[in-house]
Amino acid sequence: MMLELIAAALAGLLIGIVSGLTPGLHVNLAAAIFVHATGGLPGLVVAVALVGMSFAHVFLEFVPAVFLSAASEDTAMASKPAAEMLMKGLGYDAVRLALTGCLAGFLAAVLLLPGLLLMVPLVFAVARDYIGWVLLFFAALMLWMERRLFFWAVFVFAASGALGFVAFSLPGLDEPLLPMLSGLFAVSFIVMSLAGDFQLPVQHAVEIAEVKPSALMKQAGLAIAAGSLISIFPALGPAQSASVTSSLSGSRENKGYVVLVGAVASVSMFMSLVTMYTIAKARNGSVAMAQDALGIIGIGQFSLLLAAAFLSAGLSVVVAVYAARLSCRVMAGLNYRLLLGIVASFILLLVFLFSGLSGLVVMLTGASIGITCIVKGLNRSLLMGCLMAPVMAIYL
Amino acid sequence: MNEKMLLKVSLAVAVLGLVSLAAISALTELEPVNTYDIGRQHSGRDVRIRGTVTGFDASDNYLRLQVSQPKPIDVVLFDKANFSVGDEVDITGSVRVFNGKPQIIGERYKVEKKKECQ
Repeated sequence: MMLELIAAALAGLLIGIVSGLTPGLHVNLAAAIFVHATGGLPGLVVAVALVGMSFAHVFLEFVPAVFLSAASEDTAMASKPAAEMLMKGLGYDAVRLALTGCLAGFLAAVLLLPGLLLMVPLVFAVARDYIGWVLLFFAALMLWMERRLFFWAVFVFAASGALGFVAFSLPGLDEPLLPMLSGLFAVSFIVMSLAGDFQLPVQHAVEIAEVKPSALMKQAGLAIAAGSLISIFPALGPAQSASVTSSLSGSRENKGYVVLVGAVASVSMFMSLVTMYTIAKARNGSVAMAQDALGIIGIGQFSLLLAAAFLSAGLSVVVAVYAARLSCRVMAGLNYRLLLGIVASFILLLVFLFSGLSGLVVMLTGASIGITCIVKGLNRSLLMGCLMAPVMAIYL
Repeated sequence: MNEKMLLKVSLAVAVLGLVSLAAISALTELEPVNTYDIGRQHSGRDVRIRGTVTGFDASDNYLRLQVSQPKPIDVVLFDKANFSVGDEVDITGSVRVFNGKPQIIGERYKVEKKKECQ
């Protein structure tokens, strides 16, 4: 069994690397394909592979998010500062900062694990009856943070929410998250990048930005707070949590924000494991599939999943660093606008293959809402109304 | 954290993960479950049962045991093992559905008490 589990963790890592580097491909979709293809394997082997895949995806997706503007809902909040760094030829540095945040958040969560295992069920027991109201509070907070453009903020949030309602209830639409999130985040940003008149400057694989240990610890701490919120409240994702915690802490400076987004992404995945074990609720689709594969999760199985997470997180950072370096070299010889066009076409093809024509309509609608958000200079966490609104409707 | 430190810490984390995975998988055992609780919906999941061998059927490639708890369940072992009716066994494996009935594909087993010969 030992060899099977190690092989499973490494296989999951490999698949997660590919899915993370593939623009527009969500980890839940990659996990669903994997589960479908491995129907005959023991549940523990599948679960270990899924955890390895999930963490690898989270770490690697920052590479296309920075270099190809293909942001997901996890990386979207870093899009603007990362794009600014890319325009200064510091795309590699943006990825390095995000990875630093990912690793720091992961290690902070591990150190606090005993407390988290105790805290999560207690807080959930108290908060479960108020989930709808808490989400409503977060929605109001996000709108208040954009009060200078209140009308447009409400419009973007409401339109995203309406899109979410439609996408989840449209008959015959498979994998609604794929077209919806791709449209709102990745495609909208790519379209705006294509519409802009710029030439991608030469990218230098150099380390310019420094993050002091105290700043790193602060971002990791904020990420734990944000990740804990995500673990308790459904539909609250890394985007909103990063946005709210950074605003409350006053931390919106570029490099610190990129670190925070990285930390929140890895902490939210880690917390999904914690909630799966403590309250049997995985807040992430791929981890939920691991939960289904395992059934009853004892301390032994949970420890194995943690070990797989360690292995995947560690190796993913190494791969991502070299992927970022390679991207710097490769980008130099490419027509960036053509590359963005290819990425957008690839996402379109993925959506058509998995969700059909109705998926394309949802994606294009999402893209137009996302473009409105970008043009008006609004916080992209408002686009998470697509998940928050349907969940609020359930709980309120 | 510069790149060199980032890579060092990452590799340390990865090595710790690999060692932990190996160690924990060697030490971890599932809790035994009741055969009444094993159904078709558990297909693909790992289970561990303890029961009494109430029948077996050996072929060249595999051994099929009937393990009762008292509810019987079929266990398939791809191993040339020596069992007798009445042996108390502890078997870990994954659930499969065959002809509409759940059975366990055994991966690890131990005979806890051999039936005493009379």
